[in-house]
Amino acid sequence: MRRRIALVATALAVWVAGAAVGTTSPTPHAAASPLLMLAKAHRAEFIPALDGKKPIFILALGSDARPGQNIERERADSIHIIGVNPAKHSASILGFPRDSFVPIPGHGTQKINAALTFGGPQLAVKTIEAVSGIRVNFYLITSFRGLRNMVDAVGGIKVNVLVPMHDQFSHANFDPGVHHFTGAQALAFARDRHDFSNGDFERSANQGRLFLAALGTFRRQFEKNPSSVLTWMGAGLRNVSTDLSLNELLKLAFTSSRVRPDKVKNVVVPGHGAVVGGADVVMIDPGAQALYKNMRDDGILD
Amino acid sequence: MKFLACADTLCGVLSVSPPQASTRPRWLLPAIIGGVVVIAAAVVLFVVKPFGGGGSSDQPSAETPHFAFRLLGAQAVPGMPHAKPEVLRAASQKAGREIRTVLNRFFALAFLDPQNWKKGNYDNVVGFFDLGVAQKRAAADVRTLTLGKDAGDRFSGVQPEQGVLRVRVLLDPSGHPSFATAIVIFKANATEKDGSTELIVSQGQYFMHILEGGWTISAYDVTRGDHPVRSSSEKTNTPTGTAT
Repeated sequence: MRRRIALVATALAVWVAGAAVGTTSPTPHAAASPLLMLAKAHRAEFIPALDGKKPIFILALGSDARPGQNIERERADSIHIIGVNPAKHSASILGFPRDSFVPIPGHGTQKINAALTFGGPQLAVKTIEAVSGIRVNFYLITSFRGLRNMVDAVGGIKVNVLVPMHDQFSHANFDPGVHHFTGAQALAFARDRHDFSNGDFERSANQGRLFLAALGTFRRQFEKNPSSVLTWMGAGLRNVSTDLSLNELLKLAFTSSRVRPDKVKNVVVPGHGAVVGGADVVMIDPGAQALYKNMRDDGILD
Repeated sequence: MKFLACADTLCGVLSVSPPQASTRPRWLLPAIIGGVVVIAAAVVLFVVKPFGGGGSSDQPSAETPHFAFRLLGAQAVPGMPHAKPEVLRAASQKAGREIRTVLNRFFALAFLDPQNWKKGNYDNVVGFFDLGVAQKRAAADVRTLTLGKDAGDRFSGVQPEQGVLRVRVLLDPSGHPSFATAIVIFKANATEKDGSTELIVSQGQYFMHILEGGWTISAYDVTRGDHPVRSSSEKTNTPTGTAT
């Protein structure tokens, strides 16, 4: 019997964090004409990134849908709110353990990952909004395969592995250090929880790290060749379900090109394990309220 | 002329056939009027905005030297899974041709049309950009995006040297072109008023999207550089100019 595993919503990264998406060419920039080195040149640049003062909140979900299943109607095993502050060129990531035991509107108190199953992305958004008080503007959902495809499509992403990860369930097999992950490796990294004493929490944090890794990769590619944004957008469109329009997506991608990964906080809501009705769940600690409030104001966790 | 002829016909119908005496269906007159309006609108759209990017004033003047980019390649980035290669190829080639047409006109107006550069007025170039902030920024960047406001004081003539273009186009989930990037290198020889020649090079990327059926520039990252062109006598004195 296959284990249920957390799904990474790196798709989001594609969009917001400048995160990941695919292309028809593994090295899109190589396809571009080599430009000339111009002496005494002057440059003009206009990249229409978002610049509003209001923060934007995106719910990034990783669905555990298998091929052939509707990714909007399976469990959301990777759950992150990504807050973007366009004016400050900054962002924050707030992760929720998939077993968080929370009220789901119309369905009593259940594991948070069931909201997607019960009512699709709309109910998942409502649930997160009710829990956090944060008004979600958009959602993004990807799947195991979607994540893998996206990472491969952009030529892989560079990830810093902090601790040894050797897990037969997720197939994670990484020593500490910087790795250039393929899609399959990124998926394994995002699914592994057995290598940590606080499994679900660290896994959620790792999923956030994947967003940041995707952001870093995107920025490097964009710096070399801005047209690489189409590669990322294409990969996202092929592998993500979202209510973002193409224009919004492009602007978010442009905005992401200005967000430094080292300035993005990646936090998981605090909680503790419990058993309810014989099932293992996570009870979110009251301390999470301060995080919600902190993020609500400007999209950034201080 | 066709429009006028249609209008004359319409006038004839109105004057000769009083409604109560007519055996024509009641819907005929509104249908004719509607048809004329549609045809007129189509004519206006075709003449004024064949591929997007502005009004009739964005056509280069007759004195503009002929210029056309060489399209080095057009690549489609599919936004839908399982796209057929022939579909991608057709979409990218179509978008490449359309974008080339728009940029041919754009660069002709920005660098080659004496009606523009002699006056240092590039208002019709700015019209190729998205309304709003993009147009404001483009207007502020005319020094880089065009031959420049002072071109009329510096140059007596400009001739295109070379233009190459490579296009990548993003297809939306329905398979329709939505965004594109155009990577361009444009070169022209500008004759200074003192008789010397300057090689004008403009290169970079234009982000374009479909707006009202045509390609419009929404973002750009462009570099402009000018280089004195050595005369042939100067060239023979260089170490690489050795005769055999």
